[in-house]
Amino acid sequence: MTGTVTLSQAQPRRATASLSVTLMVNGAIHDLFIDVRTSLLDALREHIGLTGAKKGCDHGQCGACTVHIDGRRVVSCLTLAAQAQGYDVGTIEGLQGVDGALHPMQQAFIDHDALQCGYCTPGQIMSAIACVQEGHAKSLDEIREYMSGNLCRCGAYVGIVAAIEDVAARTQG
Amino acid sequence: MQPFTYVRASNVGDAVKALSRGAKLLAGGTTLYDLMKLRIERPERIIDINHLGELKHFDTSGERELVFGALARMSEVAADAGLVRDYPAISESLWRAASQQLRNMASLGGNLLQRTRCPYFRGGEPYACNKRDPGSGCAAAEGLDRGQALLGASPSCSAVYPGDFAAALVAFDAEIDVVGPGGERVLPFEELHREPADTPQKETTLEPGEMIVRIRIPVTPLGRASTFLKVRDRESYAFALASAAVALEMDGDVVRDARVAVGGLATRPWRARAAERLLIGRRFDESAARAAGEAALDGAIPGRSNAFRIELGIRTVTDALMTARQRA
Amino acid sequence: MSAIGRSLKRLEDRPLLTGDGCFAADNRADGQVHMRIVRSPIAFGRILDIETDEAKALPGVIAVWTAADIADLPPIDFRMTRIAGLEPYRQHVLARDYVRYVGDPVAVVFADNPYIAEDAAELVFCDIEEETPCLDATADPVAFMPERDPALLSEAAVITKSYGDMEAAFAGAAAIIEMELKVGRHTGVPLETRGALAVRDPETGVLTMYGAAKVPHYNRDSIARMLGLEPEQVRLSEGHVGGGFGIRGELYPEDVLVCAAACRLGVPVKWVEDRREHLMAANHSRDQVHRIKAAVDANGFVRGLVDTFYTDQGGYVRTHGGTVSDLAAALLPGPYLIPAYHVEGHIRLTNKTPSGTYRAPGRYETTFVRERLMDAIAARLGLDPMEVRRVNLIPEDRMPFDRGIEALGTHVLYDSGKYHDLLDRTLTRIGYQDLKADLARRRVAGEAVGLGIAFFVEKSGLGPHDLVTMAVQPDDTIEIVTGAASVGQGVETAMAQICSDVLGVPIERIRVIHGQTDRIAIGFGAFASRVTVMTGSAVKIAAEALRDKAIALAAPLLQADVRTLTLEMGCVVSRDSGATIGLAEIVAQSGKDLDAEGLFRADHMNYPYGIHVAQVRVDEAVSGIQVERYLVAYDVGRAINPMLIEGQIVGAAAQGIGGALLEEFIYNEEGQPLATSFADYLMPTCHEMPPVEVLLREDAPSPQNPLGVKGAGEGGITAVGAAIAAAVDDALGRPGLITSLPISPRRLHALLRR
Repeated sequence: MTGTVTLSQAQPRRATASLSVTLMVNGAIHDLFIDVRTSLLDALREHIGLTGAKKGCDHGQCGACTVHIDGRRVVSCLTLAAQAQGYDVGTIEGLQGVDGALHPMQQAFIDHDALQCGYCTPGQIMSAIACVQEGHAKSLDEIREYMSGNLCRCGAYVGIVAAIEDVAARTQG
Repeated sequence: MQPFTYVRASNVGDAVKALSRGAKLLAGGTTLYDLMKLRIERPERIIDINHLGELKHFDTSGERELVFGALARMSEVAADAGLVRDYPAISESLWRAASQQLRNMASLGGNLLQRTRCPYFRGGEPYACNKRDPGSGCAAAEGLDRGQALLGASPSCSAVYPGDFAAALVAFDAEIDVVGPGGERVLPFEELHREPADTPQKETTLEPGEMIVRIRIPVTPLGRASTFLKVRDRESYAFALASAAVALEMDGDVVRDARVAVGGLATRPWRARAAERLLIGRRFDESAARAAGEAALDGAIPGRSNAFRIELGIRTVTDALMTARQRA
Repeated sequence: MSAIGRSLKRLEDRPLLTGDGCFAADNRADGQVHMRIVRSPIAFGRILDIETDEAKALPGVIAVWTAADIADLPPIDFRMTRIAGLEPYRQHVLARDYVRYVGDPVAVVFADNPYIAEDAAELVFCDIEEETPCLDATADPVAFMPERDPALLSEAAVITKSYGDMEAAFAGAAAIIEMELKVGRHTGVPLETRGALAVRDPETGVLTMYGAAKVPHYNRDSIARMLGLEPEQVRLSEGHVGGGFGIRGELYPEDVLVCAAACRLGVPVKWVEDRREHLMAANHSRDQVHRIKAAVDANGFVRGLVDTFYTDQGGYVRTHGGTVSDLAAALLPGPYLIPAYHVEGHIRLTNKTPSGTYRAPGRYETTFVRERLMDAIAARLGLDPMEVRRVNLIPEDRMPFDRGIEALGTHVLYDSGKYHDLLDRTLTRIGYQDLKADLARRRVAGEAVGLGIAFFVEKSGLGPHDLVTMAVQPDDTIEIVTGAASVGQGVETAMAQICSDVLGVPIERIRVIHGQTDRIAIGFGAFASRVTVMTGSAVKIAAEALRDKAIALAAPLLQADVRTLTLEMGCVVSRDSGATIGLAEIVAQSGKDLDAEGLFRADHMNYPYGIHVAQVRVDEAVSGIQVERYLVAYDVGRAINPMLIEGQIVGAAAQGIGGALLEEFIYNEEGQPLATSFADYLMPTCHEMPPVEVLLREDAPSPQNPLGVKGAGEGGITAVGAAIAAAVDDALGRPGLITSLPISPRRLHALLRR
């Protein structure tokens, strides 16, 4: 079998389009001039210098880039940076208290051995905090369902679920 | 990803005007931005409609109908207490989809218009795809077809319509309100999606410049005894191999009314009226449910490696009906 | 209290919890340019022309290279298991003459930002004359690159191992059992994709690559050799690593390209792989077909075993050489006596992504094969599957047990093991007879539930040696420098505990430096479950030397005889006077450095062993399998930190479940990969993760190292496929039903229809 295959066909080209975006992240204002295509994840990582949110797939399928927008968890890789203007963006870097004290969820991850390599951990923690706040941590089954958007390849799921159950029990009394 | 211009719409009129000029609407972005990264979607203009506040509301307390703005978020609607109680199939069709992060982002209107997960469509250039590149052929016709549609396929396209919510809507006779350059019109939801036939690139009956602004579902006693069952390779966070949205209204052991729709098996949201007719007026038991399941998959045409999903679809409908019966 | 054996919290956690971790993509350098690979869209074909002009013309593009631009670079060599005849199958950093899998790098683009790099990559035109791809490793070999060398076939090597009198074994057999068993193509898929940043210091000329992992020293040497530099001119630096699992950290074409570009373009070069690329370019694994034949006596004792297997190596032979096939061939007999054994392992090239090692390479596959055989023997002879294992297990009094063959160039000598004892303990723990009866009752009631149990032998602690240096710092902390690597497994904590055990210093005051080639002369990295054994032993030796040195230096300061001095809680204490002096104080007062080296050598690997128990429920309606209960019994000789070990075991079990039920790289007839995203390559979520019980035992310490430890990183995955397959058979009452992994709904449905 033979046949000539062209790898790539020519596409109409345009000059790169840039735009000004103002983002509020962890309470601080950032004025950015960025390529319009920039995701919120890339804006955080490459332009603001907050590299806690991770790029595990860039297609919303792993949850490593989870951040909060107005307190709700979203995947920042499928959010255009421009879309986030005017909202309150929360990232893993904003969780610690002024004295450096860990958030109870961070501490619970230590207590329950809920991480190994740590790559998915910022996303897990941001998702876990929201999971409790949403009221979706009332049972182990519910936690598993509502945390299924965060992959952990090290398989620390048992610890992650236990950490969330622990925090939920303490915050909900 | 091709560069584009980004504009926020401040009212529906703006959005429609831009849409008529070829812009793409950006709501949750979970489909559009995803496909832009894969270079499948290449819009030159994007209109962000997330600030159209009037489209975000939903009301499930009406006497005649449930009303959902097109920008209502999947997660919020899924958690609505009235919906969970009175229309579990609708709530389940929402929370069993994607992940909570994506449900927080995705809008109902955007969810209805999500594109297929067909690997040949998403895989881009190496594959022929009439939907992506009309006239180029269909790689699935010659290739592995494990995930391809069994119902409603044509020689030019067998891509599955992947949405879960749509299966519930089609079961409950939903209508959608559409605004376009010519004004507003009402469309039965069942008429929104098209079968591929010879033009798989045309997925809906929306006219150029039209956008969905509202989804309405007539109030029905069928809602309470309803369920949405989804079978997939992985228990959570995966697309359906087969799904079913069903509802029953019982008169003792006899079915007074029934609704059956299947998802994950067809090229469009698929109402199975033949299955409903088999159930209505008859005594309900497992064999009746099974017969309805078989009727729902009647006409399914298997390819080389997706035949297992016919039986899977039948069992899914059967199991869903048994669950609905328990709720009646 | 001894620091060994305690579940101390990890030293590694805090930066990882606060977003302060530094993974490959988190590195940046001023003036960095971005690299994007142009990959073959064709599984197999001859390259006619690659047109780069349009890409080069795009504003912001700095350079575009094809193979012609880097013709001086040799192919990537083998790191281990160099088998004669494999050389022609090595991969060049950019494809020459032919492309051999979808994803094969054909060109590379360097640009000011990643968007431009991606746009430019789309403008590279490549004419490829397509050839029919070979996608079946059991088919007859075909030409590897027909035009270049028609005589060079796609069978790269055949590994043969043999012992015992096979003729006699088969002559007196009560039964002969033949099976074909297959393990699908899946791999490690760490959540962090690969990435690197290469920077050349214009002053010193030293090239630094950030984002190294697993084997930094090996890769430093290889990169230096390929680029014509001295090893001292190349430095590899490992930061945090988002999962290794065997695949991350091997030397790939992209690593060489960033380094070559940093040298030749004179700017820092950054590359971060996307997920789609990762799934088609980083090493795949498994993908073996075994055809076995066993001669057994009436008790189910295996008198002789013959296996012919085919490893689907993919497009090229990468750094691992013949490792996976060699381990499969050597360790197939596992925990059983098997007096006669003959194996032929065919390493066959196909037109899929190249394969390498993935956690428990060769053992996941062969444990599936061997334990399926044990179950088949039981079914054929009407025996209890556990009794069949019992008559075959190597008895304790035969330890150390010499298998009489080699693995990875070392003699296979099982160092210690109480196999029957562990089987008894495991069956007691699960209440075997009661559990069987309970499951039988549930089956009668209509549920498809079943139990599967599989035994395995792992291997760990590959030599040849390991070095650590250790020094007391002015702030009274202890710094340990090791050539090992950390891929997230808790290396720092484990090493600190071993050091703490000797010196009495709390682990929080011990810092462990790893993966930095400029800090220590030699290093072997982290693979083959070697770190705790090899590096751990070296840490112990160094800590003991440091202790002795501290006492010697303290003696004059405390005006005491060394024989009256001990080291307690990080202080030298005089038994006579009660006087104490801290380590940093010894340095300050003596004016001498307090440091030491530890070198540990091992000629043999050691062999931890264990048992997996799976209880599953099959939903026949939807062909779904739910794991209701899972138990791993594992003897690791000695547990440094039980919490870390349990984490490793449970996490490995999750991956094993993925490989048994979900994960598979599927290709279509043209060799196009269909699993190129996390929506198509399904890994377990917390929803699929059953509770995993761990029965951690220390009954058979290794006599081969001063700690008695054996590796713990892989045993949680080894027998998952075997145990789940057995449980599914049991649930359905169909012995021998499952012969292939993964047991996907489609496959199970087809089997149930049969």
